[in-house]
Amino acid sequence: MSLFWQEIKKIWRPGILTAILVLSGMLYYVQSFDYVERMMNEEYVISFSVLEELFQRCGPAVDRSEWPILQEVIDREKKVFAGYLAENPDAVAAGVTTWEELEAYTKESGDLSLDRWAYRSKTTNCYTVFKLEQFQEWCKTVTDWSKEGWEAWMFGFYPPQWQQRILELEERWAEEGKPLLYALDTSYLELYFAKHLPMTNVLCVILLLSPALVRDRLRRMRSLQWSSRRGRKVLRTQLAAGFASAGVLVAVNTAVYTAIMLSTGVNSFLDCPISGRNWFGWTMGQYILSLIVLAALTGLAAAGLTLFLSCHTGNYAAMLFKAILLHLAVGWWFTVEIMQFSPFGSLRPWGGSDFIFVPPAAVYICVGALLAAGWGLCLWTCVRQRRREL
Amino acid sequence: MTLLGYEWRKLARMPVLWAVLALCAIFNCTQMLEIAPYIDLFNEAGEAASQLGQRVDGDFLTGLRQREQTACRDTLLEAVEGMDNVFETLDIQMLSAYYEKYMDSSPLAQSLMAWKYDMAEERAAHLARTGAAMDLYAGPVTTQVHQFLFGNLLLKVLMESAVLGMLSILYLLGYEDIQHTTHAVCATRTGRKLWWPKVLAGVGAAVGLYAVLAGSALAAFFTVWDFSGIWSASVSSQFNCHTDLLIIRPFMTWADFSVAGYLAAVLLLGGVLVIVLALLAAVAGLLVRNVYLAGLVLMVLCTSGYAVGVALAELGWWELFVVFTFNPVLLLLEVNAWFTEVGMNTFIPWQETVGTVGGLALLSGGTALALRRFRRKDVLV
Repeated sequence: MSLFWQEIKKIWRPGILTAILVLSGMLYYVQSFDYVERMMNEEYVISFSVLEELFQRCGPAVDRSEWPILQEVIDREKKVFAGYLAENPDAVAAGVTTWEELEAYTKESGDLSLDRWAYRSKTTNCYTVFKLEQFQEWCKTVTDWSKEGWEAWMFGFYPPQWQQRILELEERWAEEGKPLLYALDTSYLELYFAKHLPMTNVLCVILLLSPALVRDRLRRMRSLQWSSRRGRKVLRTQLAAGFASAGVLVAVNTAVYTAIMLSTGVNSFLDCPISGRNWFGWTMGQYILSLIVLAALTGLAAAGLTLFLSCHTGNYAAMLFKAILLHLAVGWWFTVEIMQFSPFGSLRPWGGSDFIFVPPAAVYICVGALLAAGWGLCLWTCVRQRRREL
Repeated sequence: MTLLGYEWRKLARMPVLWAVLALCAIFNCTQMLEIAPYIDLFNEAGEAASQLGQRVDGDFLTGLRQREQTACRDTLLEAVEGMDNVFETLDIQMLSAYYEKYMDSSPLAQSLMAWKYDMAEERAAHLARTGAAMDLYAGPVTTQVHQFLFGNLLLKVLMESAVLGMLSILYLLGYEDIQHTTHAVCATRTGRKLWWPKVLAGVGAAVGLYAVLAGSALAAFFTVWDFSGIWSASVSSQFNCHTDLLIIRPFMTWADFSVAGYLAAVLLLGGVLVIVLALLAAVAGLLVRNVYLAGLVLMVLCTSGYAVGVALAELGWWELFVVFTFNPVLLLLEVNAWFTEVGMNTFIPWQETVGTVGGLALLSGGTALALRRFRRKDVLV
């Protein structure tokens, strides 16, 4: 059996894999399952079938000529909501039969029970109507940044490059229509692919690779390995096996995460342009792909750093200390900070009110630098080992 | 030098431990930037309390109006002029009904919740009589400062101490394997008994690390935030509240606590909780001979201490959830509301104390059994 496959076998231990499976499963449940469940059951989100219907009738953007279609769908959904109201004895007793009457009743009486039933009982199409009305409001709004108001006040804090981009997008939307994806809360997807996935990648890779090279040091294998025919090149094979294992693990994680999220039905909207203020004018599919690539690169960067630390640690307890620190630094802090840069590229100093502009590619530069650091340290270790005394 | 001393020396010679300890201490200090915006109002409240006392009455208001007019003083004055004895009108049964409705599938959970809130109602009546709600504490920024100190800073200190303590014990238990001396040591009767001092040294180290982290964090905190006028305040001031399931409620403790007394109680219970988690690591380290696997087992146990609780609540398996809320990880996560009714995650008064002491007894017994098993174990396998 070749050395490479022997090293792979040393890395993929059943106990470690079981722990990784259990930990990543629990992490998924605590972090992401709620969002996936909401998308699958269409709770607290707009109905995917309604959004798909609008996509087919109006395309990815809704311009002025398509507003009547939007109004028609809103009126239809309000009629459906009226049906739910008719079945609710409390609504009947309060004399509330339509969407508008519910809003007026809640405002005038201060009684929130019907409102809570509509939004939290998960048995009405309340969120669909709410999101459609919100989208319609947004379509009709033409923001005048020079006028006084909260939005204009916030606009003043944005960097000039961001202000220019906002104006460019608004000009484009005025011509082509506003992106339909505004009605779908894509912050779930951002959180899922830009935070949860890289965290899980980093955690799994660190746990898998931490003991990889520590074991050889503990068992004092170096003299035996260096005296073999392979000699000092053994480390190269070990590192290659480590990176290959990390690649496989990252690929498996990504496949599972992506498959689960796409099974909720969001795959119907991958060709829609995203409605947030983004630099590159991407569709949702392109944006998610870029987030997946970033998450994978972060995982591979963590692999390099873990292998480097593992090579220079003599016992498992010390490696566990370093693994926890590495996960906190890369899996938590780095991922959270990178999320700030995506997709618009901005940084807000702690306690400050002004935004500091960062270039649009900053997130890719940061992840690239981390990857270079991890792999660079491993390369340096290989070179250094060639000259080391036993 | 005793065996304990030798074990501590082994731990002291681990450079990464000191590096992590220093990083944790620095990190804890940087956390204070989070509440920096509240310092001016806090200082105003502290100075007013030093001068006029903590109890907000007519004399206090008169004295406050005579203080130098500043924006902070005006904010403080506006806040205290509207004070009333909130415990007189507090509707505890509303809370009870809310949680009972949440757990309507389990009569056991409902009855325990109802009993807890009946006791809380008696406490509310007592606090109404003593007028604890009329204490200033830190005025309008009380909740922010209190929740930062107990729910952020001390929570992080406890978590760091627990992790460092657990890994220290694992290191000591695996030390002989690292040095390849296990077979020589375990071949003798005295050698087999070495694992008792290892566990004791690990537990002692965990407490020591907790003392260092808590000491450094609190020293830095109280250097910047002057609590000299605030120590005698009741933590049940109406300006202090906490939230559970989006419901804000007053900070109603099961016994009368001043700020100083509450801090001491939390630190003491926190120390015991760190010992509990260190003993958990000892059991894992003794049963799972590979240090790395033992570390993974601990990670799984600690993560499941939270995740399983979330799952049980989501699934509505309230009987199991009641039992599960006594686990040390969930207790640790509730440090911001210890010695109060907490909310959904506790079912009896003083649950954090009962759970911690119970955990200590259980895990001490478990450690003793694990050590006994180790004494007869074949270490060649």
